[in-house]
Amino acid sequence: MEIVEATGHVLEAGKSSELTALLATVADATAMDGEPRFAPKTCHDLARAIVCRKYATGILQLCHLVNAVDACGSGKDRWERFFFGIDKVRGTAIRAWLTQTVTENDWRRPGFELDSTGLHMAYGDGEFALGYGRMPFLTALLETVIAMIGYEPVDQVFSNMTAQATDQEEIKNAANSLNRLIYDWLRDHLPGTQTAEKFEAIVNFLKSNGDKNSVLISDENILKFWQQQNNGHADANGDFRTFRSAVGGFIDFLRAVETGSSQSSVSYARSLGTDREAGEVDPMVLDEDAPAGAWQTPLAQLDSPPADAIKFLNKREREELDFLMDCGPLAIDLPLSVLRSDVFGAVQARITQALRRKEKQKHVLNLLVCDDAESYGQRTERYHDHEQHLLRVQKAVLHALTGDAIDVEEVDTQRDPAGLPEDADTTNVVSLFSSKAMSDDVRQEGEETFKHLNRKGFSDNDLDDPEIMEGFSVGAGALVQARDHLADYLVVLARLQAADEDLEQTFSTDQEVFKTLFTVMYGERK
Amino acid sequence: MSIQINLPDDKELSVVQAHFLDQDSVRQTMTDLRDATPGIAFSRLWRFASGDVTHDEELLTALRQDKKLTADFNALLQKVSWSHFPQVAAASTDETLSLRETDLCTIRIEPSRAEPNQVYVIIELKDPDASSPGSLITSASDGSLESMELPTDQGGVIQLLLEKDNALLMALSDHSSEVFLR
Repeated sequence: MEIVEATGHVLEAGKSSELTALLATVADATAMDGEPRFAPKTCHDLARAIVCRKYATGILQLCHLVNAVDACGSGKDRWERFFFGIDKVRGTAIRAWLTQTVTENDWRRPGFELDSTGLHMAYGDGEFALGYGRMPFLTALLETVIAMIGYEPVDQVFSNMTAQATDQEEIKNAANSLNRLIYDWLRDHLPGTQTAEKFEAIVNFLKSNGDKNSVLISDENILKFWQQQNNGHADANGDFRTFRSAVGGFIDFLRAVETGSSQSSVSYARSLGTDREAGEVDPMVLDEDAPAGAWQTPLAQLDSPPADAIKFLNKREREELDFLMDCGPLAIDLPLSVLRSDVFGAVQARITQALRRKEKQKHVLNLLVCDDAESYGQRTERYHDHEQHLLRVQKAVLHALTGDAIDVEEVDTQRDPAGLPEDADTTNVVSLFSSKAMSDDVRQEGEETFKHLNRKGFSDNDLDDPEIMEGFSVGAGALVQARDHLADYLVVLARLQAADEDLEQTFSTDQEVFKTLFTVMYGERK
Repeated sequence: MSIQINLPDDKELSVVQAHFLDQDSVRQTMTDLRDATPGIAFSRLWRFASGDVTHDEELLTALRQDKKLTADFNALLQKVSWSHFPQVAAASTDETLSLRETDLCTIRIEPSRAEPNQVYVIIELKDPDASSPGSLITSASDGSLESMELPTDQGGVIQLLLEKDNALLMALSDHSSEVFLR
């Protein structure tokens, strides 16, 4: 057996398009200390805005922001200093920059005001407001736009705009100019999508495996679909080469059905406002691209400011939980697909990586037979470990939020468990722990756990940092959501383990299936 | 375990397809990002152009290889600079340039009488009371960049003594180079 020309295919598939490289450049941008300049959530939102062509609102907001920073900065490069001079782009850093600049220089033009929520602009024909939390995304968007169309055209649009920006109409004109340039660039660079074919592949498969109207999506169906797509079947679609992409395709399909149906649109529709507990959406930070009510992986919140200031999960833990968390409640209905993806998807990733690196044929062949694949039992144990870790972190967070330094009576009264700065945005702070009801044992356990967690954010000194404390408050909710989801998933796995064919038997069967198909895909007999 | 759904009718299916397209494009992009090779972020260009960072070999190499990056860098440098000297039309390809001029200053290149291998670069500010630039940067047409910190001006004049084979001097004498005083 030898490795076939599959290597070339993998290389081709792995080759970055210009757009992907450009998005990677923004995601990879570092601050002076080598830490990422943007939070991962910002980069994810940016990718979504660009590839889904849903950037128009962001561009309009960006133009308003440029107008404002032009009105408060100094020097010829006022907007550049704001967007590129701030090292780690977070809402708090942006707020501090704007506050300091306005304090030192005041506004050069009238009609602008800062408050604890953000920036307010009064034009001749109306008002416009922008929250600090939105500004990191707009900064990342600007980096991307400049990388696309070049600095000079962007600077020209902004120069024309700021020379006469007394009405919103002028801001809209500038935004439209940028939108046209971006549209033209994307027309040539947005990869020729085969998504329509992928959609049809899934629909046709479901129709052929169900009756006319009612179709069934199951773990076995997804596995069968992936096999059909990659064993020379006439309907094979090259975009479903990885098992994870096949599972992801069905997850996306189910979400699209949910989002696309008018019934779900009505049932999930949220009103605009700022009362989050009532399910309302803050228009200042409205994520216009996310379907309302859709599952959002809790890891995204841990990746975002202010929670990203704390290392709740290390890189390995995060990677191992990523797909399960991304699938959300659908993982409960398709548990084996997630398990297969995590176990055999990892083997497939190693195969493609080995091919890309042109590693020795013997090594690749060893990978193809899946002998080194982690068994489902072992994987389940690791999920358990992660669940226990999340529990430990929750306890440590409990200590951080209700520690001795904080007056618990006052905390309960004010619903401000973190001792946050008085102007902190607490609308997204979840009041998780009623410290009055907490026993001494629980409190002590939390303290012990906190002391033993040797990670960024978990030191006594960190408890004096208001930003870290806000990170604990916001991150606590995401931790609870993540652990609950993991616990639910483990219950489902336990049921599968107790079934007639337990997980180890399923693993043995799957091992043969994946070995056979990997060999078809990446190996060939002489 | 499984999920039973009713397939939407054709009209609704097109809406579903549009949502699928968005979801799938994002998933595909996020997957591709793991293998993508990042380039030089504009924020990094700005740090270098503004003088916040003075050494970045990777950036200098990239400037020599990427014309678009060089164009962005030169435009940015022009904006943050005290004075910008664009490329100069050459009378002949052999001719070296000994004088550059803007509204703010002139740059003259004069041979040293004492040392044949050395030349003077004299920067004369037209307004002796103006704040003087801190560095001299050249950007050659091949993207290569040279820079030098400048001494404080004496009565509106800044003087440098350079070897004839100095890379900055050669770029300064080249018509196709852009020069920046920052």
